[in-house]
Amino acid sequence: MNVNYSKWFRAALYIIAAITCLIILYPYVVMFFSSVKGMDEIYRIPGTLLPEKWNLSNYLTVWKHIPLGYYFRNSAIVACGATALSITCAIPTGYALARMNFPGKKGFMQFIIITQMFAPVVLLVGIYKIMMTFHLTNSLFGLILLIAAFNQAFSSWLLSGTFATISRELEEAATIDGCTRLQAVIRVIIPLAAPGIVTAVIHAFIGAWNEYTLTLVLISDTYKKSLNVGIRAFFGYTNVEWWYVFTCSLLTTLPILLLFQAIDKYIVGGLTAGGVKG
Amino acid sequence: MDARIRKKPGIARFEAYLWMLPTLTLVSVFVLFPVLESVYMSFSKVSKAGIIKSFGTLDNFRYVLKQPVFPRVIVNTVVWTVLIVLISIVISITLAIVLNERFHLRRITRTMLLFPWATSGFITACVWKYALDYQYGSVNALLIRSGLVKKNINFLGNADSAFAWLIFVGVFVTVPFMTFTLLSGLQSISVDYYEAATIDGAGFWDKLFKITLPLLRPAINVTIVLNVIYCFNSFVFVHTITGGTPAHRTDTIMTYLYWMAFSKGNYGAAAAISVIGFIVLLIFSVIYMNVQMKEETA
Amino acid sequence: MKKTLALLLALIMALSLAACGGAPAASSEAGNEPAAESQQESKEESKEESSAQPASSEEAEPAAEEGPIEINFVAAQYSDATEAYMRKVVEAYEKEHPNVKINLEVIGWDSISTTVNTRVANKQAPDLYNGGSAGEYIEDDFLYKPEDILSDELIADFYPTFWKNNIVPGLGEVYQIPYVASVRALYCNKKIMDEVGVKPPKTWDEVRDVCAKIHDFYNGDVYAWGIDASSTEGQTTVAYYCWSNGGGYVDADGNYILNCPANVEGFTYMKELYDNGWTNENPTSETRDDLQKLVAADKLAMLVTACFFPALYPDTELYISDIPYNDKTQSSSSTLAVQDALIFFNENAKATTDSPEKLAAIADFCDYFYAPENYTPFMIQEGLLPATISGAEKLAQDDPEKAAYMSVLEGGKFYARSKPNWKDCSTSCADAAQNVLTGMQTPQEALDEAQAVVQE
Repeated sequence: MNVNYSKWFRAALYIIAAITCLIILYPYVVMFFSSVKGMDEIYRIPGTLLPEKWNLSNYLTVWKHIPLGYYFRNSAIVACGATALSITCAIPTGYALARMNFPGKKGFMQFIIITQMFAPVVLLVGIYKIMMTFHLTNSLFGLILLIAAFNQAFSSWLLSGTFATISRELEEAATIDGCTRLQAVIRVIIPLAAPGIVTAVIHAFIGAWNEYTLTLVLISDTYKKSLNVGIRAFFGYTNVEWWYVFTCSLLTTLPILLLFQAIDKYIVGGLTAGGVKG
Repeated sequence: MDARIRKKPGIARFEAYLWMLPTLTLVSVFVLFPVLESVYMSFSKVSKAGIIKSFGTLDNFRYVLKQPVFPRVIVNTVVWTVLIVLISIVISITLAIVLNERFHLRRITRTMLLFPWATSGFITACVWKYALDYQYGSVNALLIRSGLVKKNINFLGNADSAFAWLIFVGVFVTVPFMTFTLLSGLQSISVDYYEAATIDGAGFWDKLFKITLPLLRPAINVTIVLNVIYCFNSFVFVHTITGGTPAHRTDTIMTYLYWMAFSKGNYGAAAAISVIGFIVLLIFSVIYMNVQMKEETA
Repeated sequence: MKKTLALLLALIMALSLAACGGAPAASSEAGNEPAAESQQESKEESKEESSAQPASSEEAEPAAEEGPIEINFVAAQYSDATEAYMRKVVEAYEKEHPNVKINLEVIGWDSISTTVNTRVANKQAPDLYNGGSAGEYIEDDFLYKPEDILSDELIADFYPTFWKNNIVPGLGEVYQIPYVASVRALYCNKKIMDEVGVKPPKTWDEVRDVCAKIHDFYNGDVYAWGIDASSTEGQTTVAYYCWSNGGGYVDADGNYILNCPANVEGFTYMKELYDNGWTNENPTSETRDDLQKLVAADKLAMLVTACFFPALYPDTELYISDIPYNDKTQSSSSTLAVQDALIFFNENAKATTDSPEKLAAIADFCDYFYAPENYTPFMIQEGLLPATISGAEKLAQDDPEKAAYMSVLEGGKFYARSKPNWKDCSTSCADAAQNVLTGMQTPQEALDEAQAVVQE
């Protein structure tokens, strides 16, 4: 709709955008202000808006209360590992769904969607059992497999949509040049589908980074826990240490926002293909 | 398009399965097995420690269905899912149209929209609960300072207003992902359509209803199906903000199930609830897809 | 487009490298778990061998062949200092006993039962666990009797009142030992009480009187009475409002009596306080935490809460008093004493067998853990009370003010936690209180429903 409308339309754009920004920013401002307040100020009634005393030192002392360094490391390992595995598996699946016709294709699509209809929280006992069978409890590698498995539906659906938009001729040209089908996919299809892959990567990464229930139940070693599990240390029996909760929350969210910023320009392009064709 | 492939004899027809082998393996082992285990448990007699004693009983389902609060929980879940998805769709379409225009706030708004997507649900739930608190919440502090209200508002005080705020939080976390999906759909619509429409003298609303929305249909359908599943299965928001209080009147299937399993220790009933939830979702998707197909052929 | 992908891959690699940079072991952990584990084990073995030699030969030698005795301990988190303290105790113990390795895992209250019950259902129970109660596991015969494995000295050191409470009705056996204790009392904000000129109420009628005075004095701006019927604490309403009227969870024989007339009257009294506008407005969602904050902020005058409350708000001056009772039916107040229990899973709940050496090590570790010099400082740190006589003696020396609670504790009444379906009882009491307070049900209806649930 790249057409100029009246000034009312322009005004509406600004108003809607401004309101959206304010609503979204609000909880993060609350988080930041609360994270630098001291205990007495957090518990004061009525609450203060701006911190009276800026306890920026919370961002340093929090590292002494919980092994945050380990948590960051583990979250990064699991998120990167699960993302890599999930996308590596979903690319051939997406390709097969987009390009091939095979018996049971419809059934496979339904099977994939149906597996999404059970949330992990329902399945804990069974999940633990299967992880035990493979000696993968208390293992980051096991967690990577599990998170990647639960991510397959979304990733392969999205990627098949992306692949379907790519012209068949390019691939055939590569085959004529002497490439096998696999080589053609690696050399032609994947680079062309990069925006869609980026989107799938982001979705998988965020899901894995923010995973909570599975990590909680499967990981028993303190030094293998993730940020999201570790943060619960501040929800005590006798009180909640909100200032540290929010300090950690912001520290946890920051890496993802940086990741977003780094690849921002690819995000929207990627969703195009998946959204329309899927 | 598949004429070439269909000609292929024998084993080659199954080549696709080779390509899908990694996904098939992962999903069958790590997702399908626990799902079957859960279904098996729902038909079994289960001890308080979660050990299956014997298979072949409908007691768990009977127990769940006779809980006086269960109908309420189902209704809550449906209301929760439908309202969040509907409200989010309307907001997301608006935002997608806004963000598809070039203006000064565009980039910052897009960046802002990434925030809720990047934050874990638990943290989002915590901060809203904290901000909406009756006594020390900053929303009330803000309203009082700005002179809009005289007395603190009891946002989470009764079941209805608490549930409304739960839906607000649900929309807050659903809109970003939806907006990006729709925005990308929007960007793939050719400018030619609009130029032609402008020449024909069509206004903003004409273009919206005659060009934008119809062409956006596939993208909207996909986000609806996905987000219905996500919302239906979302757990952390209700669990963190109200925990189902008072007396399960803000519970959804997921939180009620969690309460049944881990607060009450009735694992068999919890498994039965998950199967009932699954059936509800399945019915939805079958109906939705049928309606879609009818509309498409009509 | 190729550039995009290269950039992306580089980013992922960089991230994972940066992540692994912190600790060299990490990459092998993620990539090749079994290798990492065996590495760790061999490291421990060698460490153990080198340090085991100087120790006494009988103890060290068998262990050196079979590897250390491993004890899995899942402990609940009381504060963010819990883990550090317990790890210190465990490490000190391991130093003294090189043949024992204690795998300590500290988990927050909101998720501990989810975690442990998932493992128990898969027969991977820990050896020691303090986040639940014995009742859930008796049916499956998953628990050791403490008397069978612990030292007689330790068993004798527990307060008899706890021991008695832990006897399972109908079975006459004890399957859990007390881990920590707390008592509840009525805490009154001194500033408010003095300003209005009232004393802490002793009886229900006095409560009504004092509430009305406070309410009128501040024109409703200060809540007079705090009710906590939130999901985590809702079961306390029966203890606070029904015990004081002669009712309760169970009768003397351990049978549920949730809908007895005394309980109905107790809930009616609670509802009356609420309906008169004397209490906090959101009793079904405001937690103990929230209400304590209100007392400290001079917004709430009276609250029944736990004994760790004053230490959290050292600047708030308080009157401490007994929970008010109905003097028409009762002659004295009764206090809620709460104990968190430690249980010991037996071989039925684990995939491995427990060697006699391991059981001996568990007993020995418990002796060490409950030794006053280790146990009492832990309780003081968490604001809780010890459940052992020796621990209380040390508390009297270290923190005399808190030691005063010990006599209250001894006379306290407990939840019926050793009942196999205590969880059902606890959740339905909370539901009943919430239904009554929101006006969905009358006290009689709500308690009838609760009784029906627990009798199933």
